[in-house]
Amino acid sequence: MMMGEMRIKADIQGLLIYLTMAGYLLVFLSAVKFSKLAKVLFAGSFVLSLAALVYRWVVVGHLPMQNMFEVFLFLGFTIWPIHLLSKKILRNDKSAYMMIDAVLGLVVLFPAGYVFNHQPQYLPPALQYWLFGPHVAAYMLAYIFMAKAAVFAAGGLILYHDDRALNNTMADSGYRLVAVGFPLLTLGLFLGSIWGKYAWGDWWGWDPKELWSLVCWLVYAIYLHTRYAWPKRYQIHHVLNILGLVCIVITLLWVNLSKIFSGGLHNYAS
Amino acid sequence: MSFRQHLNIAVLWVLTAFTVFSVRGAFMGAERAKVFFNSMPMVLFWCLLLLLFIIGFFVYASLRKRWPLTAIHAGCILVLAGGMVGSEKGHPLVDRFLGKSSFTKGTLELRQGQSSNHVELDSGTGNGELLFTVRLKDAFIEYYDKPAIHIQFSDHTHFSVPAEVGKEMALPDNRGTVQVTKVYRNFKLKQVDGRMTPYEADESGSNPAYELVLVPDGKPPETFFVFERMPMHTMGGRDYRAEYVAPRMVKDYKSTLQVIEEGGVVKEATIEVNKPLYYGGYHFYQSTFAYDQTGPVSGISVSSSRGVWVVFVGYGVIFAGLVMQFGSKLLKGVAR
Ligand code: HEM
Repeated sequence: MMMGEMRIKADIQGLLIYLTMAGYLLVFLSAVKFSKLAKVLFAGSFVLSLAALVYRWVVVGHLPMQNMFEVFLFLGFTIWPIHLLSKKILRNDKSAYMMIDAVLGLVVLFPAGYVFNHQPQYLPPALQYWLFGPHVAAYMLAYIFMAKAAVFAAGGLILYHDDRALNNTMADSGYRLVAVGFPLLTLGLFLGSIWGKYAWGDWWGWDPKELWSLVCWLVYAIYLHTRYAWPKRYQIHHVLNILGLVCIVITLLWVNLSKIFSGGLHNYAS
Repeated sequence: MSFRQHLNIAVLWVLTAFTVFSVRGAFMGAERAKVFFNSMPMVLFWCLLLLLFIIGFFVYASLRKRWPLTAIHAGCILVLAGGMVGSEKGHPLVDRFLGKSSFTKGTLELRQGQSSNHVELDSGTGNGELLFTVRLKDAFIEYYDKPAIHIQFSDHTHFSVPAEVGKEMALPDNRGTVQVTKVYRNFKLKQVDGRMTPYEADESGSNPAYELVLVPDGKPPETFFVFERMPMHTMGGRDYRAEYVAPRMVKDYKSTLQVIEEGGVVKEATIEVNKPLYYGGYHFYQSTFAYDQTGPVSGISVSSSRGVWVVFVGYGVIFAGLVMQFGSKLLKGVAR
């Protein structure tokens, strides 16, 4: 299992991750008061995260998306591009949003920086398939969007009061982000099926990690249909949205959470 | 409440049930989950889900008229239907309907040169038969690292040379040189002029061996043999031992398969993990790999491709529908 005790990575790889995290922290601190500066810092942090990713790529000699360390490293790198895209999706440029995204960056880089081991490993045969990278990438992007959606859902629940405009904004923003995340989630499922067919002969294997990703997909489908059935019951929408993220976290960490249920196809993370 | 409102709620209930079943399956592990999802109550559930989708098209005009929505839900039907005809339960049912005899999944174990059309079924219900024969022409493993000969001296100094015919290499501490001079695939001994002489045997079987020449500094050359399947052994009067060190980091398992129909080879391909051979409705996958006394034994998993294309088209249609549905909403800036 790659999840060891918390440990500092005293090498170039670690340094690049910690510098990126420091950048995100500065963005968080300066976002509201000095938003111009924060924008520059955010872009700078992105360059650092790109360097961390490229460095990893060179060290291992393949697309760095094969184990938990690399997955979280990749997530950390997507934060800024998704931040820019989200401004378009949400049609809003509040500096508080930059704060939220910086925190998200810290949260996803934390496991890469402190939890997961980064010893380079040889790629086992089953993972040498060109769709593997896109399959993981689609999921990772989806997860970031869903995480952001859940932030709005949580905000919607916490700040829920008589301010109709605010309630609407929270519910609407959550939906817009799911509207991007859900197709990506579907794409991840699709590419995973193709890969499964080529690697194991089955497009679906009833493996726990597969089932958990199906659960995520279904929870968001329920969310979408609940919106249709009860368009104004924002609190229910929010709860489902957050439940979706809870399922995503379980999916991501399932292999590590449940050493009892071993033997699944998706044990590549171990 | 109108019928539509009832149906709205029914959809939510059924999707919730689906979610609960999936969570349950995740706690079971893949094997038991597969049995569970193929059980009779679940078959009923799949039919109910399929029916609900179909009813949806009749009841909701938007599912018929707004084609991104049509695509999303029709795609779901395709995935579901494709999955059902290819499943453990659905496969034999379709067979009966078509008057065919086939199977979903099994394993074919072949040695080099062997051919067969009997597939041992994964369900443990005996053998499945292919309408053609599959022959294993060749099987091998590719490694990231290379095989080596490891030489250890009595003072624990050690040295490795690649296990292939190569150049003379200097040993550490000016001990002299070593060189792999010959590689045998099937090493045997025979009497030539009253002396036991090694030779490469043509007959079947395998006994890989390496001939090495070690020249201790200032002394005459010493020839010795290293056998892949024998552990390190001492050699009388010498202060070193040698052994074969197999490569460990597997890069790929490969098998060259021939499909034989009516006595002739109709298809030949090298399969590897992630690269199956397709013939006659089945995919052939590299699944396991082992060695025994006769050489490599290749485990080939055989699985029916029934319904797979329907599923993939279904997924594609869902994805396209989602992009259209949400893309246009986001571009228009309305959330409803
Ligand atoms: C896993 C199964 C399903 C998935 C993934 C799915 C997906 C979707 C999606 C993505 C939307 C669009 C939501 C939006 O624009 O916000 C939608 C809407 C809808 N779905 Fe489903 N759906 C599923 C099952 C069903 C079933 C079983 C029915 C009915 C029998 C159904 C009926 C509807 C209806 C009526 C709408 C709203 C159409 C409108 O906006 O006018 N869905 N579905």
